Amino acid sequence: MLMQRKRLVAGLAAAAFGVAVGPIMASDTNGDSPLGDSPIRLLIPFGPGGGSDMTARVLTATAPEFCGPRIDVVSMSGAAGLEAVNHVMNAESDGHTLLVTDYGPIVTSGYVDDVEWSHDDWDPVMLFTEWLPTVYTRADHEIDSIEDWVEQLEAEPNSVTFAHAAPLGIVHLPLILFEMETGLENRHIPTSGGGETRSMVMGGHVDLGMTLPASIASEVEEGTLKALGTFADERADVLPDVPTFKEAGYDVSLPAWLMIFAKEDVPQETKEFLQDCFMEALATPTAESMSERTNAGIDPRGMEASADLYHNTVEMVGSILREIGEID
Amino acid sequence: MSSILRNPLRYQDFYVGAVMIAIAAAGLLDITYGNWRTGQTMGPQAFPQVAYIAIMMAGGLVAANACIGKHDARQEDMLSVLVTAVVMVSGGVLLFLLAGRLGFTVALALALVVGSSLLTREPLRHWKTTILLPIVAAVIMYVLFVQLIRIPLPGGLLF
Amino acid sequence: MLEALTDALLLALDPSVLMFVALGILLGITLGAIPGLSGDMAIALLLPTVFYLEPASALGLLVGIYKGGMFGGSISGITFGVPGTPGAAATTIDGYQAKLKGKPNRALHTALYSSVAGDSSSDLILIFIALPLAAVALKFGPVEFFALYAFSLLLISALTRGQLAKGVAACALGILLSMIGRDPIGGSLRMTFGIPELAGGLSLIPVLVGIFAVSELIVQVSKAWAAKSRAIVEDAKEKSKMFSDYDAAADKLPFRDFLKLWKATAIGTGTGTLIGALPGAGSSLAAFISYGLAQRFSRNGEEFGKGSMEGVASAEAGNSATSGSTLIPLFAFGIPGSATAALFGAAFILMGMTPGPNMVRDHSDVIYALFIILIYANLVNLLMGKVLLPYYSKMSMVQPRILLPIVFCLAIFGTYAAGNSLIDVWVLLGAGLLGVVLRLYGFPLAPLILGFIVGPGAERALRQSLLIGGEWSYLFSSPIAIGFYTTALGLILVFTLLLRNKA
Repeated sequence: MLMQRKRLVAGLAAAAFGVAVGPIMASDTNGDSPLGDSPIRLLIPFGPGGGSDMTARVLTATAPEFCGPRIDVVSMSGAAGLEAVNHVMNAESDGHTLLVTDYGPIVTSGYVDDVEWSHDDWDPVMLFTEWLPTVYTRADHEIDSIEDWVEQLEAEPNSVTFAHAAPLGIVHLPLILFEMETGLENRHIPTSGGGETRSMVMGGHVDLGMTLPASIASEVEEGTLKALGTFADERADVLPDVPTFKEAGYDVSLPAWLMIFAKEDVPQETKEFLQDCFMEALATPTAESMSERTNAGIDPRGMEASADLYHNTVEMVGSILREIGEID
Repeated sequence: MSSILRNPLRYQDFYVGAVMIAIAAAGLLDITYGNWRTGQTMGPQAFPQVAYIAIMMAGGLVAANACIGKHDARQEDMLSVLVTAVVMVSGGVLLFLLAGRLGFTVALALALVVGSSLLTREPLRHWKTTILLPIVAAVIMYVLFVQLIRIPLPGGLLF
Repeated sequence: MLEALTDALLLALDPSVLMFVALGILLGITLGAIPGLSGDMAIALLLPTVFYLEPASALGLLVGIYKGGMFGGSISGITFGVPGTPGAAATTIDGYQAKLKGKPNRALHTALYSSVAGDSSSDLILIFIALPLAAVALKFGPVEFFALYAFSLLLISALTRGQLAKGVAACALGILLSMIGRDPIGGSLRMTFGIPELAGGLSLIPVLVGIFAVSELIVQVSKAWAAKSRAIVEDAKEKSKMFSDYDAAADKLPFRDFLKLWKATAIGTGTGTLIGALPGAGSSLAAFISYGLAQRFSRNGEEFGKGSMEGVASAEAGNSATSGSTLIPLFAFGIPGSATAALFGAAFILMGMTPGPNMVRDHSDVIYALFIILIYANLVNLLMGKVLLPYYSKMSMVQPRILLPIVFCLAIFGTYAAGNSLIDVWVLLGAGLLGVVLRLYGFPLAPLILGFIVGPGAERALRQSLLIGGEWSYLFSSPIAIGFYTTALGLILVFTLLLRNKA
């Protein structure tokens, strides 16, 4: 009976909490929505607390007003993110279960993993933002610029240690692409993620690292870290003084986008409705201030522009993986 | 030899050691002949290899200890525990699959009622604890997991 | 500075903030006690509240959940032998034995006091000497981490009763299980047996809850089944014996008795604070290392594993002492060193603060308020723990026939909710079977978990070191690493000599 009492206490506490914040969190449902009342789930193939999680949460806070039902962000990082992708693939095609991801779990995994879907089974609904992979190091490191880096590698190949997160991830493929373009060679040091890369760079255990601009912007401004260059066509908004590799004369650009995907067989009008209500939500002042606060750099694009970008990335990643012999 | 035969206790650890050696040998063979990206000095195979070798050596030691009379006592209720384990694990699988078909609360209430009835003498006489309480517990867990935590159960489910 | 402090005091001591702290602790203790669910999951779930609540209230809620969860895990560990969180695994070893010997209340209070002591010291260190400690933490590169992980393997012997060979084998098995999935360095698949879902490897929570908790539940169910078929008279006799044997007076823990455990608590606090400050090491490793060290330095080392209060105190202090220091790399460099730190980092970012050294400067009011909350939340935790513990320790007397099915179902859905992963559920049940088999054949379970925790880190660190340094001698290029190796050697020498003298 005591167990029951304990559960009861928990239930009451939780219920009390639900009453406290529930009304604010679950905004009123809009009866006219073609999506009905059941919640929209945005699945992210990563653990909670990361960039994709926080960006997706901007929609939880702003989009119910425009889309109708409540919006939940569900983190499912099992099987290196494939569980989230498969969950969306196996869900009903009613537009209630969507995937929010960068290209790793969908484009790269589609090539290297044993999956039951193909790249054509997915349609982008919209794009949140493009993250621009950036090479950085500690402030007092002797390498000061892209030119210094190239010079050192030309003088002595393999003399620079370069930390990146998981092999073939979004902050590793640009390095491979750069080496393919230039024929230079670094010593690649895989890490468990951005945090470990950063402590290895700051602790002086490796020379260079790669990350996304938002995570180093304030340190670069302060001068505790320095960014060498960005693998993109244009400079990152939060790092306006950091050149692109294109400016330095290397045509290497591999931005990592963050998109919302629906299954290909979700009705076109549902996808369009979702696109419209998400875009509307992201244009609200609330969403803009949240994006500002979290350094998310949200710059939404519609489904057509996203689809072009998606298919480009599929091709590009495919050619890199073929070149390095990961796939046939 | 005869002393070992008279004392079947020694047999168990002897066989435990033998099984450990066999498992480790299978693992090492898999690394040598299986689909591993070996070649580098510190490739993906290095750590598993060391672990298998450790198991093999430990297995040898366990078996050797059994021969000289040092061994762990055999658990008396081994068979019944193993049967319970198989029953509970299949019950768990069934519960999770049923939660997708029958709905979370129904499957859970069913599991709890069956579970506590099986463990209770004269379950119907104790209906308060074998039927009522499990149903209440299932409802509370429904509030916790489905309403508050909002776990996404696979497939399109009725809750 | 003084002005900022008064502002912060006003913020932190606001009644609504206090209420959120208390609510958080209650939620944390309860969720932490459910196997699989942990404070981390609850924090992730309630992250969006930072959009709606005042910063101090939101932080109070999250801090409360975190601290409550840290202690809550040990409640189910001690009362049912079913650790509620990974960090409580080491506490369970002695806590559950103590309960079986009729001392649940003593063990629970020891856990509560040592948890609060470890937590408070760790918070003070975060507040006052974060920067120097963070500088030490940055010195830990692959070479140093490998030395630390290699050193922690010494603990196998502390975690093994009976044949050491079986402990070593269990640890090796744990390492093997941790290797399943994608090789973190080369990216190739290994030991997935052709199952694509295993590409991401096994996660800690299902393995740990399965090995410890599910296997314990299975053993208990089998006992309850056997008890059912026994004669009623015999059963009643046993039941009355169980209750008459329970001596409530002997099960009390006067505070001065807890003070006698100062050494174990101090070892746990020191170890936990240090390990917690290292990015990536984690609270379960801290708890195991504290436990092992406390056993080594205890006068009653042979009592460990048989219900030693020192064992409970060291493990629980070690586990909880990571709670303040895990935020150190986040505050000093913006590096999230653990899942919890990443979640707090996300909360700060959602509030418009960038984690890092500037955060304290730019948002001193909120951060000072957070510091004050961190400290007084420990007192609230202590108070609520004191109030709730009598109920919890009586809970262990509830008839198993009712409790076991409920706890088993909670473990299944709790584990599922922790990662929203179906595979985790299958892994949980599989690990439960494995745990039962290992128990039956006399293998200790704790070394397996140690191997599972240490394996991936050790492998990554070693292979990173060789990639960076190019040769094996690079492993001895750091004074910290050499320090670990010599300490390890020294400890082995001293204890073999001591053992020989005893014998």
